[in-house]
Amino acid sequence: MSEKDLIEGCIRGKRKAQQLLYERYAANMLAVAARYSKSLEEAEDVLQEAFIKVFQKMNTYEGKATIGAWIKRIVINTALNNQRKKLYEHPMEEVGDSNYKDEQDILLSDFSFQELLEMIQALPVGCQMVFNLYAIEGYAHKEIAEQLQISEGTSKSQYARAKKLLKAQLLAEEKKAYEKAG
Amino acid sequence: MKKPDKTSRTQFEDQWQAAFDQASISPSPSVWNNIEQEVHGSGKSRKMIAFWVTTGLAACISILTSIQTMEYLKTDAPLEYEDTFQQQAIARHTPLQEENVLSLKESTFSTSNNASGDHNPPSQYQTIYPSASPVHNNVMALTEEVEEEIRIEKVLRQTLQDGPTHLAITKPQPRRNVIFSMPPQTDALPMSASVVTAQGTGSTSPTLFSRSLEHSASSDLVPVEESYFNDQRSSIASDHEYERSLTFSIGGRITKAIGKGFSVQTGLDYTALSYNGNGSYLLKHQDGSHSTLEGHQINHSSVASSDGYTKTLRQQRIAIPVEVGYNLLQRKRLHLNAYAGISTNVLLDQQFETSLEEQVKENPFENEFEGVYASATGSLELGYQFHPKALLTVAPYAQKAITNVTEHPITIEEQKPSFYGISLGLKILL
Repeated sequence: MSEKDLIEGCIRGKRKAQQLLYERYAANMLAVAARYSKSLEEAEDVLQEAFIKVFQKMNTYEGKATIGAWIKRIVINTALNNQRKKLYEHPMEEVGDSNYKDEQDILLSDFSFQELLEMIQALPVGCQMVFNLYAIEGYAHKEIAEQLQISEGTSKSQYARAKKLLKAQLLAEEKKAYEKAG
Repeated sequence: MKKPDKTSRTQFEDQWQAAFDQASISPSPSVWNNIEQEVHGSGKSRKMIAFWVTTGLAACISILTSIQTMEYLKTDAPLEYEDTFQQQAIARHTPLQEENVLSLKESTFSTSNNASGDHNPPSQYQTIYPSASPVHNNVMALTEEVEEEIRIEKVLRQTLQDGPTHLAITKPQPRRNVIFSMPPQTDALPMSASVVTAQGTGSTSPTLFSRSLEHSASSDLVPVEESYFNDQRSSIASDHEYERSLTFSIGGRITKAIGKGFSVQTGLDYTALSYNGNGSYLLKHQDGSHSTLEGHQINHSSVASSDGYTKTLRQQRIAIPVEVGYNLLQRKRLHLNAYAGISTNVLLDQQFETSLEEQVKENPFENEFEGVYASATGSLELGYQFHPKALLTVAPYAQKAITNVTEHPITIEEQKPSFYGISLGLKILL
């Protein structure tokens, strides 16, 4: 079934089309949701909520972006909404030096996907959101600031902090692996 | 989406992007099952909506039915009695003669104790009612009850004389007579006479009469009521009114969003009500004793009056609202919602304070102002979300009673009054 047929089927509420669309995108979208969550269970909740929205709002899909990009956008927004509740309790603030630079090169290819995911999930919520949006999704700090209703400076400083924490984790893991190898 | 300036990105970001570019994690089968269930009809949220709507409707219907039942039991439900002779003969209706039994000329007003024990009312009574007023209403209620008693006695007498009669008796409505809730100022006045008169207790025969005059010669106060029991007589003139202070309520709500900005909520409110009254009265009482001076009978009487006395009634009200809301505005942590619904209100525990301190302790009406009523409510609520699941709210509200508030002081003038106030509360989001 073509993507167009899938979309039309979903608009008409066809169960089979919805299931096929889900099966086509669910795994990738769960990986996206996992980056914005603290656990796999939480990520699955986000995925479930996001796909319900996808099926309910399918008639608003205009075809400007690919269906995959549109679904991803919904997954990210759903995840951000969930995390926003946590940010009510611990609002993001400008922290440390936003111009943190560490030129020490670390190769991520030495690490598994699961290890990298756990490092991201271990970040404080604010750092996690900003890091995902900036480093992986490719948003500018100005856009992130608007989305998360924070200042651009806060976005930059949170990102710098995330980067610092991740590099520390990466170095620690490297050191462990080096010691293990003897 | 704008891509950030490539020059600002480093190998670090590129590596992370590449690491997650085509990443995938297989979800557990339960995720699809839950989605399917939610999207195709038997979803949790639809169940919740149905639950709330059904519960709300059931609550509204049961509350209104209960209140209507309670009110019905309080009203003049005609009671049919059949006398003991009905089994012996064919029932026949004896029409009552229209007779203005409550008319009394001024000259017969100071009648002395009737030694013959004949309690039939004199036939030359007349009644003059003041213009429509709360006091007038009470006088009317009193008069109707007396008329009913007299009518019953007449029918009974006729029954004994003429044989079986089908007798319809209207159950008297419990009376809340404002006039007699005001205590006299001096201990010299045997208030019991007028209280007994008002209540009608202890009366075995239709010797209870009441009338109202348009004015009193000794006072500017209107209206005046005169009442007497056998040869004891009281007349009272009064003028007073209640004002209600702006009320503040505190309470809690649980709210469930039902989509498209709408929500349903219920909860509990506590309100401290305060009614400030002021007024004046003049009371004249004759206890039936008299002396003779130069061949003329002089009735003994005492007079009490108070000008500008105050009284305050404090009450508690518990309300259980069921409301539908709509979100008008949401900015960061601030929420602006409009609500409309119905509320069940319970009035309880009154405290009565007055400048007439001595007599308040003897006030026989102390626990009268209690009751249950339903009202339509509307409010505009401003909420501050201090927690993802909780808001602090402030809401100006208006209530309009949709059932009679039969025992509330403000309803002396209005049976279905409006209330206004400000509610402070805690709201939990489900």
